Amino acid sequence: MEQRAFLERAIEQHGKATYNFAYRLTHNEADASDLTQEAFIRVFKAWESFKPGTSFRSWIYRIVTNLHRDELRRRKTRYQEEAPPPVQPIEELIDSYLSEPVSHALAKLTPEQRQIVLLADVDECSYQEIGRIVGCSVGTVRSRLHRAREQLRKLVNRYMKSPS
Amino acid sequence: MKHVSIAALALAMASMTIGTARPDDSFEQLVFAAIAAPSHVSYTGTVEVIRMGSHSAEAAVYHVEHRAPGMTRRDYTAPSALAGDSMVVEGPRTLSVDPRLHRVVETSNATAGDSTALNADYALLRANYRVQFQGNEAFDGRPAMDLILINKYSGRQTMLLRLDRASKVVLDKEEFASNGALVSEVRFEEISYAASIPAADFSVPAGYARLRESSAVSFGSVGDAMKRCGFAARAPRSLPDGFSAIEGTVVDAQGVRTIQLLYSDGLRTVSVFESSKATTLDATPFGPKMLRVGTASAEYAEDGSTALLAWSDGGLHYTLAGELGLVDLTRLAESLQP
Amino acid sequence: MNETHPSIEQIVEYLHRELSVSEDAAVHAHLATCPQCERRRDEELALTQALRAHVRAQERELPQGVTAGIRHAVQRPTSFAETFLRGLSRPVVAIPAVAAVAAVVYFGGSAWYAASAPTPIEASFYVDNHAAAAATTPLSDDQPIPAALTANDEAR
Repeated sequence: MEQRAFLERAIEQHGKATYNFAYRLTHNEADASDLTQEAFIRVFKAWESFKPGTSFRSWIYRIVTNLHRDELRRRKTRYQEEAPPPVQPIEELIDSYLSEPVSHALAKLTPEQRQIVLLADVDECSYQEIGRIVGCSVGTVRSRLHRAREQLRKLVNRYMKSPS
Repeated sequence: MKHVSIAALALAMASMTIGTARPDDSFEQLVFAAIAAPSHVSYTGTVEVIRMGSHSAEAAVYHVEHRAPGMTRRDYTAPSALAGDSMVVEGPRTLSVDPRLHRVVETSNATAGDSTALNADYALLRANYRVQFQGNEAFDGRPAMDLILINKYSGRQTMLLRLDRASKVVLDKEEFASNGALVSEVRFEEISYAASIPAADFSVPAGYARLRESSAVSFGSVGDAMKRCGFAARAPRSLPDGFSAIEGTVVDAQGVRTIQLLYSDGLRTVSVFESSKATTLDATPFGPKMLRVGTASAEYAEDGSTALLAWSDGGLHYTLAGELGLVDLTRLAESLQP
Repeated sequence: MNETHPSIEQIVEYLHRELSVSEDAAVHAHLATCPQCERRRDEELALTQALRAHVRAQERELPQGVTAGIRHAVQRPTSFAETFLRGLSRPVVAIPAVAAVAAVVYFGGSAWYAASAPTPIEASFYVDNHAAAAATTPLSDDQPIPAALTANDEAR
């Protein structure tokens, strides 16, 4: 059945990248797995609305971003306290403390800055794609990106100069 | 568990022969010093506690006053369900003050000051975890140091302790699950050390109704509890790496006589509850999931960092509660099968 | 164009191929003749490469359960997706939810139920008794969060 074939192909081509994208947002395996699973289920249900030739990646990344936002809002209203910011697993934390100026610097960015920088530099998305994924204008993408890189530049230089 | 006092802990610490310790013991001694710090350091501050499961999080904030060696008061300010409540611990007694219902609930801990049990607990921790220096940090303007506790079997970092270098008080404690996710954090938002705190600070309102638990829960060995419980309870055939039996007791769960067996590796713990009278787990607020233990249908839920697994098999009704991942929990459950 | 050096933002956008065709050509030409700007470009490129290396080093494999879960979910006719994310499921035995029980009841009063029906025990009983028993492992908290702190007071 075409719908199933579409899903299987999507998982095969984009499953790992989507999971890693979700992991960047949630910083834990369980939530990242949930988000990934839910996103592909949505993709399955809405498969006919996907226009061939457009970027599947930015479509599913957008779904993941929205699901994550919804879940954060849900958690925030269920418990009076703010959900604490996602914490990096201890291995990453150790890396940043010990030797990696880059990872240490990344950790200091806001989640929005981090997400945009990684989409631009690692996933090599266009600014327009990033805007679609994150839900903002290209102008906002530009300014957030430049701000983030400015921060990274400063921090990386600082961490490289001083021993951890 | 025997609720040992901090003073007993300090005694146990003093009995350790520090002079003959090897150099790599020094970090372990720092951990011990951290545990013992409240026995001689008085402080006030604000503490935040966060407990996280994979789908939910709980947080509480309280103002704390601690008068060494054994008087502690907590006044909760958040969340709103707890705001206004306070708790005073005075050695073996705990008083929970509920201003909404105008009452104070008193619970007693059994024999306080048992340094033998304490040494055994600490020995268990040392047997199963090694301590590694993680780095120097600053916390609220004070020099601090980070130590991590690594499980010797899995190689996983289980806990991070941030100690005040001067006082050795634990300023921040983070616990991690086996996948590296943070499961709980207790940290001071601010702390100040006091030479002395007046005893009057630890008084509770006079006009409130006083309720006492009607039967103190006394703990003995697992074997004793199994003899006392009045039915043929089962003990697990195998335990997670590093775990051993600590103690057991018999409790009353809404009229159902229930045995509670406690196992620990010094850091993580799990309780095995069993009854012969039929019970089911009501974990509705925590979004329970259905799983299987062997051929039996089981209910699994998480309350913050505590996982629960309940099922019935061979005429007994079991509930496991503890800080174990689902894999360890299921294995433990399967080792209870007839 | 050769006298005015590109801004750092322009260099970044040049590396991201986000400049217009004419701007791109101008920056490209300038970089060929200006060692100072070329060095800045190299620094930005190094930062990008360091980011890539850092992320790729931590790339995770898709956990096995995820694919299986997706396939399982799309087979079900009902809206599994909704319940999945919230981690809810229907309990095996339909029992009315027990009202919040004060801590003192655990130790004292007992409610007698019909012998045939299983007694529903609230999860917080096990959690609190376990926490109380475990409270003196060397690095535990002094006290667990009191029983009042459950999700009972939230409307679900």
